[in-house]
Amino acid sequence: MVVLETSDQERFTVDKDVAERSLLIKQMLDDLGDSDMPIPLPNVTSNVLKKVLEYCGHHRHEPVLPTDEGEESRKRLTDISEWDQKFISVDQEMLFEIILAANYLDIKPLLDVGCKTVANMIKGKTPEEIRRLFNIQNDFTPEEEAQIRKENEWAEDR
Amino acid sequence: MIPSSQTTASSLLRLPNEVLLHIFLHHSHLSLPDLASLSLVHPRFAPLCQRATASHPQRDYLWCGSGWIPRDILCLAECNDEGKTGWLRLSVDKDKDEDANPYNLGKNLCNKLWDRFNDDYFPTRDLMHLAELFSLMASYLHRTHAGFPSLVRGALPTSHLTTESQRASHRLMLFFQALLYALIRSLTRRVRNLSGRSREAKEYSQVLGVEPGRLNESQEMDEELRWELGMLRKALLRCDPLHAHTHRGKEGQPACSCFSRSHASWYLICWHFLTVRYRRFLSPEDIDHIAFRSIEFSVPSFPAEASLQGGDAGSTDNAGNGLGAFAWSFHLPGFLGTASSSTSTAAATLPGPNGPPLLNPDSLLFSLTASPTSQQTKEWFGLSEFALPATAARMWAGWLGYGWGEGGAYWEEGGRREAEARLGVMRGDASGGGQKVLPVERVLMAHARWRARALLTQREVLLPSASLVPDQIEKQQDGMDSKAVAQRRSVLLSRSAAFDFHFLSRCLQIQTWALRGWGSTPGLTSEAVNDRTTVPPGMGVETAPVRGSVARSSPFAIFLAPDGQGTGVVSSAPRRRLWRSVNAFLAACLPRKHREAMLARCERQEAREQQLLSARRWQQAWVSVQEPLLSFMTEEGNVSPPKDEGDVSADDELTSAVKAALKQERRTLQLLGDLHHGLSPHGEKSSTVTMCNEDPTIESPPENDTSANKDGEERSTQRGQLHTWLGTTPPSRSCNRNLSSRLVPTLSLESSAVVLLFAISLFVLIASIVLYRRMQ
Repeated sequence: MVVLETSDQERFTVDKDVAERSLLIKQMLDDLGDSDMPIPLPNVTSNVLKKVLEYCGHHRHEPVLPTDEGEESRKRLTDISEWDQKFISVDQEMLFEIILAANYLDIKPLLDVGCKTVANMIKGKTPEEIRRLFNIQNDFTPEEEAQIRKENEWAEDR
Repeated sequence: MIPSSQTTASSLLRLPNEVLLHIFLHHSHLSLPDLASLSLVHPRFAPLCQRATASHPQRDYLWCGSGWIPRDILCLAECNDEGKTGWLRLSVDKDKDEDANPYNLGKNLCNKLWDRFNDDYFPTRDLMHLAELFSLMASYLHRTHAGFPSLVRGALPTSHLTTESQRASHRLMLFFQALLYALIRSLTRRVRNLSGRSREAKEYSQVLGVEPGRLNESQEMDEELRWELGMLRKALLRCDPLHAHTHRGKEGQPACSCFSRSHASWYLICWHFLTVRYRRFLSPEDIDHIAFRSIEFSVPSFPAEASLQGGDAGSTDNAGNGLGAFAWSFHLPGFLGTASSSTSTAAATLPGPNGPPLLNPDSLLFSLTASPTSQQTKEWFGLSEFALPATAARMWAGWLGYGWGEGGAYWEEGGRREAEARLGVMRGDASGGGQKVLPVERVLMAHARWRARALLTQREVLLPSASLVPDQIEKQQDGMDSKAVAQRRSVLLSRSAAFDFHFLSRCLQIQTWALRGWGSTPGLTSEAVNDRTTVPPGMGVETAPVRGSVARSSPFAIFLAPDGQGTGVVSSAPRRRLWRSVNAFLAACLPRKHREAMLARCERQEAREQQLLSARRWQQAWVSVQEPLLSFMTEEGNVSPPKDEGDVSADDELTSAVKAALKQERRTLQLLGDLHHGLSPHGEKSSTVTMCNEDPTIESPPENDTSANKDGEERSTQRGQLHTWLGTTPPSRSCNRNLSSRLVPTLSLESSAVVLLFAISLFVLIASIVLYRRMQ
């Protein structure tokens, strides 16, 4: 068993194979050897880690592909499994927290699920719609915007 | 890693660049246009999107050599050095060696391309992305004429763009549209296994934001198809030839050759495939769009004046340049003819011996294949007949409730009801110039104007008598073969009178359905025709009574004259022939001196009758031009019948007939002018009128000085008082009876005396014979 400590000092005890879905934790465990010391995760809150562990628990028996090969195959796959879809059906705040956590913990499949979900949200939308969706302010200077618009004029009639 | 607590702005902006790039690099989800949109969202995104774009697989589709569009094909779509298009060059090189022939090369490569679309496995979503990409490229090239965007610049042979950028971009735009067509066609032919469909359905659930498990498989498939249709609809609408052209017109750019029949054909064909694949999901707006585009693209198929006079309706130059009502109808070689052919001289409009094929509106409307470019398109891309615009037009008619079977057209009762119900909610798209005018009305207007121009041309060239008084007529015709002239007039006028009633009636029917619901009766169909196409009582006009009906078994209205031989036929002809025979017999019985005098008088009489007849037919022709336009008027606005001028002498009668014809002509032109300028299209009363005469070869009526430049653009307009349209009484047919009685040649005093003398002689002769026999 492995003990994980979140940024809000909450501790989670999980099976080693579940924890090792995270390449970061796996690396730390390899470095630490057999130790009962909790592994600190200062960039992950407890509610986010709970979700992440849920994902890792569900996928614990799936093989972890080597980085390059896995990345290519994951990018080719366009679909998100049904379970993953349900899992990732969370509010936007939580979605980005999960993505950040997946990135920090180096859980590539989870990062992919999150990124694909965001990509699906972006897909087919106009710049203004994307801004509204993600509450983004237009920070372009007029000159910058004109330049970018000119470069992307071909897609204007969308 | 950025802790969540450190940011208060957008969640997306909290993500580090590496994660953002990870999102943007999901090329299977984000297309090139998506990345283009993203780069405009925030300055942080722009460089990341550029990196993602650089490695996007869709870029390969646009690259020559290494991608899907082989360089050879693109080269074929370029301009050659002589300024001719690659498309034209393809057709002239057909006879070359098989391998060296670019025609075959292009054809083969294109077929391979299509095979790849069709046979290889590509997720439908990828194909949708391609459709979007191609349509955006086409739209961009059309809008800007700027060559390829920076996205793909350098990947294509761009040397030609510096010199012939406009033409080249047109060709490439057409080419992208052709690819779009290939893609859509491949979609309709794809055979996908069930598991593949299920898998894709799940993907679409994600795209559509539908919770998994909420939909069963058929619902998922429906959603998928809807999504596909939405994508393809958008892609196609970007390539709408009319909008593209209008866009250029608004920007004040010169007319371009891109609005060709090929362009229109591709567009209709693509819609055709969409209706095949997504029939259940088409919205009323789609039907509206398809119907009106079909009509509008078929309008220029109507012939020019030159072809009216026996020309070949199938020839490109002749096809369609008679429609000056559309500003875009000029300057467009290959589609609507050249400016020179549209301004054909009067001499060129002399009639040929054979009737022009263009007078069959059904064949014009429902067979747009009489186009060299269409034929070329068909050959190059190996299209079967079913994919050509004729089928597209049938599809349009199918939406109106008609079906085509082995025996030709038939009317599907059930389908018709549905179609009419659909059309009941159909409204015009008011696409032109901000005018709230139904396209159908524009079509009707265009037709009426076309016909008015044709009539004016004929009057000036072949019927100078129409604007002259009888004495002048006789002087002018001195030395001419009066019989030939009369025959020519007769043929031309009957052609004018019979001009495409079918088309007009169909347009009117659609319009009426659109405005008043499917149950309403249009003005030119069924029994209404009997009442509306005749002239007022006492008008002294010989009618060409057009009896109309819409058979339940046919989509087309049938219009017949009383003798069943078409419109404009004079019902009094048999009686005239009888009197001609009697006169000839009497003349033969007379001494030589009196015989010659009588024959001369009879000839003069006959010539005068022919003139009278021509004038009345002329008048009737103008009345029939007005007829389809009456639906634009309100109840208050109707044609006021001319006053009954009572019995008059023969000379007065001819003069008044000519005057009446001229009056009808002026009235028609005034109506056309009014409608064109929107003065009273729907009953708004107006005190002014505008006379429109678009053909520079045609002189305007004396009272209405109008002119046009060589491009057919209307220029001048002198305004006068609008005729007041009084009363609602439609013209009755009694005038026909009056006319018939008047047309019977009256016997002169001299001929009456001769007849009496002959009768007495005959009586004496018979009495003598009887007496002689009794005495024996």
